[in-house]
Amino acid sequence: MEKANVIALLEKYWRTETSVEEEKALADWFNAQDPDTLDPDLQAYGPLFAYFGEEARVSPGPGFEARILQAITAADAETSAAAMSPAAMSPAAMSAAASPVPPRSPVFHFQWGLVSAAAAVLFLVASLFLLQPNQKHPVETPVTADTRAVAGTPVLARVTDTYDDPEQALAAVRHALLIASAHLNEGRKQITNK
Amino acid sequence: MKDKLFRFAFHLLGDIQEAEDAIQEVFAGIWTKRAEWPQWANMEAYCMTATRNNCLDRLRRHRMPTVRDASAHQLSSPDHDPHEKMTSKEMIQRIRQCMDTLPRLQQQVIRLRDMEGFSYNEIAEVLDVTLDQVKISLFRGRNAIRQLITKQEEKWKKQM
Repeated sequence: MEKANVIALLEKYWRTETSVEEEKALADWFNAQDPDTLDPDLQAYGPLFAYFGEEARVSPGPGFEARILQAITAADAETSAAAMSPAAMSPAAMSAAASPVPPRSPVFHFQWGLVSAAAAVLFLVASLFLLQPNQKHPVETPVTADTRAVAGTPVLARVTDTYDDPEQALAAVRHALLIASAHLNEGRKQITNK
Repeated sequence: MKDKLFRFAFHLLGDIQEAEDAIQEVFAGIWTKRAEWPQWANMEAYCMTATRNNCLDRLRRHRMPTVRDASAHQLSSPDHDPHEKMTSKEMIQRIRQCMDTLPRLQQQVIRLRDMEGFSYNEIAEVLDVTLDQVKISLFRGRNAIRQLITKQEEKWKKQM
């Protein structure tokens, strides 16, 4: 970079008009120069960028990464223990646990698996029951006083239709009445003969 | 990123051990929130903000000194001859001292911008200040350093 460019960029830098890229270019240029042979007009600014470079090289002690991993593992263990505690079984905790979090504990997965399976079976049974074709709708018929419960409260008996065709139903009723009538006549004969 | 976070914590706390502890806590906290990661627009800025909050909590809890211990960076000798031209190392030391006397926000903005290369928006997010505050702090902080350098430069020129 030419001296004039460096000076112009420095002016922009002091006015805080430089971009991050321009600032990096400026710092790289100064840090690549030998302080003893640097142009006298620019020499005073070299230490500033050297200072920034030095500060950016401050690093943690050895084994820092391992200590971070230990801290993460400990945090994971704490989370799992909290999930298994009775307090974690509150509705709020349950809903929080239901969020799409990657594996936590085997117990957590097992319980939710059971609940899911039960819900699926229930849904299937309910669907079969409700969506059955040609279902005969039950008719609720109030039962008369003599069939009331002892407590005196009215009881509702469920009566289900047996015939779809009214003609068939009438024929069946007639047939039943004929049989009943025949039995009654037979009984009356026995009484009158005596 | 861990080194960048460490540097930020170190400059806020002024203590290596304390900074390491802060970063370990920050990483553990971030790990437990991994389900939320996809919602974070800027992971690095989020981590820096978490680091800043953790460090400020530590400073409040322990009432730690916010200005770095002088022993961390050796100061120039008091019997230094003012007429002798300063070496680059000594000038770096003067700049460091100047930085330490700046208001905290100006120090933080200069560090994030000139040492870590953050954009103005990222700095505003990390430090939880407005964009204008970032620009003003950077301008004032850099100018304080410029005055120091210019004074020194004038001294050198007089000697020549």
